[in-house]
Amino acid sequence: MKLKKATGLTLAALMTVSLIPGTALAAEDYSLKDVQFDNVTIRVATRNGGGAESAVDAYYLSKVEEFNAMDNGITVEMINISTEADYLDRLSTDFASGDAPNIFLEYGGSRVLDYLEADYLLDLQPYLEADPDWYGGFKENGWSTCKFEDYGYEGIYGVPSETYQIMLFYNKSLLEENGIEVPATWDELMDACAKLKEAGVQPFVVGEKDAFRFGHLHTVLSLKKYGADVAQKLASREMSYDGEEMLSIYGMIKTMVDNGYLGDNLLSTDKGQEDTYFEEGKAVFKYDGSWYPAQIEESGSELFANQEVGVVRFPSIEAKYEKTDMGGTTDAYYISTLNATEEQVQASVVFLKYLASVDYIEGLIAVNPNTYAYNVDVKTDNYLLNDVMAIMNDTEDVRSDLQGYDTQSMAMNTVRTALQGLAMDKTPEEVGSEIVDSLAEYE
Amino acid sequence: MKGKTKKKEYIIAITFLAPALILLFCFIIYPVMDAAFLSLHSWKGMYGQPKKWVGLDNFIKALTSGKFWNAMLNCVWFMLGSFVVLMPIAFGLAMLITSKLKFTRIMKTAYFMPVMLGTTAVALMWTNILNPGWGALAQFLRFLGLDSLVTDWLSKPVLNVICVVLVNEWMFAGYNMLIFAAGLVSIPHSLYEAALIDGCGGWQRVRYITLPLMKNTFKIFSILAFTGSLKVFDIVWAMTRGGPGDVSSTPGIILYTEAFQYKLFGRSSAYSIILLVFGIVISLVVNRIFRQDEEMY
Repeated sequence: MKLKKATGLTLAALMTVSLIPGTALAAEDYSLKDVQFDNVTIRVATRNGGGAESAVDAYYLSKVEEFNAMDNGITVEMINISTEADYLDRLSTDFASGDAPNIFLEYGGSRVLDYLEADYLLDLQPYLEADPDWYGGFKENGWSTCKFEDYGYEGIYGVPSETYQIMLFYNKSLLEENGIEVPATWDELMDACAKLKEAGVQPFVVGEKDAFRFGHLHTVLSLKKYGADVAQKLASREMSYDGEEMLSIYGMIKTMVDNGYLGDNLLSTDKGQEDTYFEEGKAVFKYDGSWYPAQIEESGSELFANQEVGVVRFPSIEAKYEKTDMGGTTDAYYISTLNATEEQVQASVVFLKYLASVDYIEGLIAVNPNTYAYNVDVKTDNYLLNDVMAIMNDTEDVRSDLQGYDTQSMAMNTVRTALQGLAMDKTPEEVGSEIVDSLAEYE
Repeated sequence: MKGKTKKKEYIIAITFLAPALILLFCFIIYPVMDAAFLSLHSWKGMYGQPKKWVGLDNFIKALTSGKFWNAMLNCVWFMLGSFVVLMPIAFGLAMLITSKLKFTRIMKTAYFMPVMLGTTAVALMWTNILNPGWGALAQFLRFLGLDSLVTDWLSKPVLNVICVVLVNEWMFAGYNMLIFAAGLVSIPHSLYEAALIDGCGGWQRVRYITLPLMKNTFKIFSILAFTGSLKVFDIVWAMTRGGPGDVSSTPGIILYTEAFQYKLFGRSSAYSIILLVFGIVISLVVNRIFRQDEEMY
């Protein structure tokens, strides 16, 4: 009997021990230096264009082809959908059907929370720890999009790609012609808008047909008025979307709408048209991300060529939050473990390392100088980008879209949709109630 | 011997029916059953994750949502448009192309053209035409000195739904014209000749011969109009995406956004079941109305 028991226990112990190598790699294996792959195919979903629409798209396509030609046993299949809404819908469908891409680009925070809660995101921390050069290749503040400690998850679940900050771009000539100084505070900006409007010059044209425009404005104004804590306060509902603080922010946007500072047909103008208005000198200001210098350079705008576009930090509302801005990591690459084999997961890590390799990044910066999350100096002839980078270097605190910190993954859509009401005839109170009611409906 | 023949007949019948039944089961019955099952559960659209039983909660939340009833109201606009605008136009066009006028072949092609263009192309074209800044309609009105009539047609609540409805009717006039034309050509010509001998005028021939003999065609049109209005999605999505806010949303758009943007697949399925029930009830009611009418004759 004793022998039987001992044999049973020994077998059980052996079974347990034998499972360990299958479920976890030894520390040295996480570097994946000596791993051989035997014809592994991984699918990578990004928002790069399907063809060579831009320099970045063309570069990405060529580098993937180069990777596939390496004969390292890994083949990358691309899923490229440039339109954000279509891309996100495709991701949702893929995760629902169990056919998720091995690597996908997403925007972090509450947007990927559902994937994380379902345990379908790979914790990259052990891989990053096993390869300090890889980890050290990124700016420290870039990791915010990939960490979810506020939601109770330890680890690093993605690799950042770009960083950004929302700033105020302006048309130098139009300001000079109208005798207006570059605004540094909100009051100065409002005064400038009033003067411009009086002179028959359009201050902003905002493409609110793309609902993220007011979403960004709401975030940046909230940060400038209440500081970085506003993100957590809204997420925990300590600050309510229909409370005095938020009503005041909606009121600021509403005033701009009512005074015609943001354009006449906000809801039938999209972001692309907004850019065109600015680049054709039909609007004096535009609030946009640090990606805009690369974008305007590629557009071939004369305004840019003549160095007539300037940029400043988004005007401050409260002096103590002057250097608190909307920004952070724009997007990150995540590895899905859903229905993926161990080999596919490892191959995905190898491909992510390739995307963060010095060779890849140097090439990327050459074709598209931008504010990347990589720890490299970007040297560029783009005067506007140099100004942007100088502002970013001087920034003290950043937060991204406020709804990205929410526990409800649908908060972003809910708030952005409701904010469009400000461009219709809705009052700040109506917008606040709509947000609160909608969030309650989904709780 | 007789039994053997009957059995053989059954086997042949089943063999012929099987492909259609299999397709019907795979693409209609099973998805409906699956949606019904999902509508009673909470699921975030994560493959392999458990679906939590919530009973009728999804239906209660769907039916008490202001968003849903606003979307239903927009469906009513589509229904109104179908009967007030589309039906007379399509019927008129059908009369035209089945008449003895010259160039009816060109007319048929021209009227059917918008259907061939496809929804996205039509939607994009009209979105640009209706742009208040550079759109053709705005430019035309400005040319006529009617600047005050220029407005943001696709962004104003109600007005944007009416615009989309009108574009929808413009697009489908040709398609429904064919349905009516099929009904028109099936009426024996001798009846019109007899009516002519009896001294009937043009309107009387339409009133007493054409309309009564086209009841079935009108029934088909009505069912298509009601169910089409309930499930309308593509034209609205391509023109307004249900916005701004949710003002031009339809139930079809809500069930899509609930599933793919809000990841509430259970509630989205509840919307689909509600739509299915509404569609079946309306079809039955329309059938009943037309049957009563037939019995009267």
